Amino acid sequence: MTNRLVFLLTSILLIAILAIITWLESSKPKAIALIPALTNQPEYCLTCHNGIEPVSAAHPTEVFGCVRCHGGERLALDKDLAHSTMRGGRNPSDFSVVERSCGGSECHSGAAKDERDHIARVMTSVQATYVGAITNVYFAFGGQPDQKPRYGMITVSGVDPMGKAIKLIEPPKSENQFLQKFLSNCSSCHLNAESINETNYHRLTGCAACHALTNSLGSYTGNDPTVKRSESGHANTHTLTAAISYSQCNACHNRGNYDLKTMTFNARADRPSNRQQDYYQPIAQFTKCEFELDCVDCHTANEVMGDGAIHENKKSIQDVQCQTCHGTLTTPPQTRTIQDVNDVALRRAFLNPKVPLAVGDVTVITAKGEAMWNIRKAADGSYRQIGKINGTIYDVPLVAGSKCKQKPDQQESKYCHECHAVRK
Amino acid sequence: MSLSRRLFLQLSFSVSGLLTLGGLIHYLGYQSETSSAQTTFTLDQPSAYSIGSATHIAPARAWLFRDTQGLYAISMICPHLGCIVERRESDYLCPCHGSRFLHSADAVNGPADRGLNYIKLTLTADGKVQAHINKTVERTERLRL
Repeated sequence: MTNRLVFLLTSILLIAILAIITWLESSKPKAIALIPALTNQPEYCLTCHNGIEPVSAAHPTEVFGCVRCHGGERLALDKDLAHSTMRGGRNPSDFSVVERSCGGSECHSGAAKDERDHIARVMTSVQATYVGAITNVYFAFGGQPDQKPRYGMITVSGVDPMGKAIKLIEPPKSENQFLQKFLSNCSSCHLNAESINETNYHRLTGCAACHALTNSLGSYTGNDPTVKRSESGHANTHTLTAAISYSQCNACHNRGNYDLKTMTFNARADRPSNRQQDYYQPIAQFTKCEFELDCVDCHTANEVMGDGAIHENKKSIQDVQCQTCHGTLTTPPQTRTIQDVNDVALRRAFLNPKVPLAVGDVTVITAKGEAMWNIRKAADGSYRQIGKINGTIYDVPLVAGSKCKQKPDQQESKYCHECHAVRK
Repeated sequence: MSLSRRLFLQLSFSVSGLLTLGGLIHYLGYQSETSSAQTTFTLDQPSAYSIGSATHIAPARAWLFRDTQGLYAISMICPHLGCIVERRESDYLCPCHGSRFLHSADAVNGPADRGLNYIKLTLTADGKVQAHINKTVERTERLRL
């Protein structure tokens, strides 16, 4: 081969390489910059995630951007580099990182007196600590000498409902085989546990466990072009909501039971079909409102997310009874007129597009005084409930004046079910 | 076709030179967004705004008003987290978290803990109104005409 030919081929090769590099560079997507009002710093996440949904009306993309919540390298256009410092993987609301992602005095770690300490509340809630189940099982199987709450799935400290200091620590490893099996098989029922990777069990962790709605497959159906539609582990879309459908609660509360004899979780074999049939407890009875309404229509934010105190079990925090809305033979439901423009009920209703609430409205309240802002007393003295998910309006019948003979001291649902349960 | 050494070298240098030049231009032409968007907005002549008028200046995220004292402008950027408030018949409402403000810009309810900002107005050399949205002024300050 002559020198001339070698030179020619080498030159052609170099030019070809330059041309390929030029073509590759020019075929890359044009960088899309976003300068969120909150950070005032450019970020390029939308270059790849162009089309992703805004998180919510309270978190517009042009104000929050991506990095404020997710972390990550805002200027990087390389996927691995851009994602290298993200918090919580895909889920910045996982409790391991939620304070850095969602906290801050102007966001979800505000003043407790204003009930803006959402993170602190939910971290100490029964749904996060799982304290009631742990206490009962540890006591029953010899893991602790009494039923005093000691252990939680996360370590938290604070005060109990009486204002007394309390601390929960993670349950210690035990040589007791029942407790070992309990911890390994039965401790996935808390907010920060990974969900079972099966149809109808999918949910995320942390705040997103409830506020990011998942479909039965845990798949993404939104408009972010980078997310595979076939994989599980995603919310339905990149959105958070306070209008939490019953189907989201079902991912944990309606998919099976724990068996304390074998310390295993017995999953439901059937799939949800309709609301009336979907309830899993074979011995349980339900009234019409319990399968027509969504869970959040009656169960309040303080019940579900915590009220700031560390409660020892579900019963301690659960406040709503049938009488809360229906009253008793002798008393109507307790109510409160919204008077303060800073009333927390107004704030909560503002986040819900279906339930208008204004100063002057009269709402039902729980025994602890929390407003059930979607249940109103009308000017004619009747009561109506507005569905938080779909806006459906329901008349709320009162016990007073009805044929009901329920004793005032028997107001738990099991007594009401004796007459009002609907056959499956 | 025979190619002379001179022609070959000329062609090689030309092609690689053009490619290198293209890369250099691309590199030097790269601009990163280093700071926020525009902060000064030039509006119309003051005569365009009559006494008692309220004009939405959307690009500046502000409303411009004129009273008997002069012109003033209120920023629509919510002091809570920076969402854009909506002017309604009797108040301003932040669509993100529900803060409300009177038309005077005073906060009615949180989460915002203070009122909306009044922003600085000046006149350009040719007499047009200019709004500086990153500069706040006292509520009593007017661009006197």
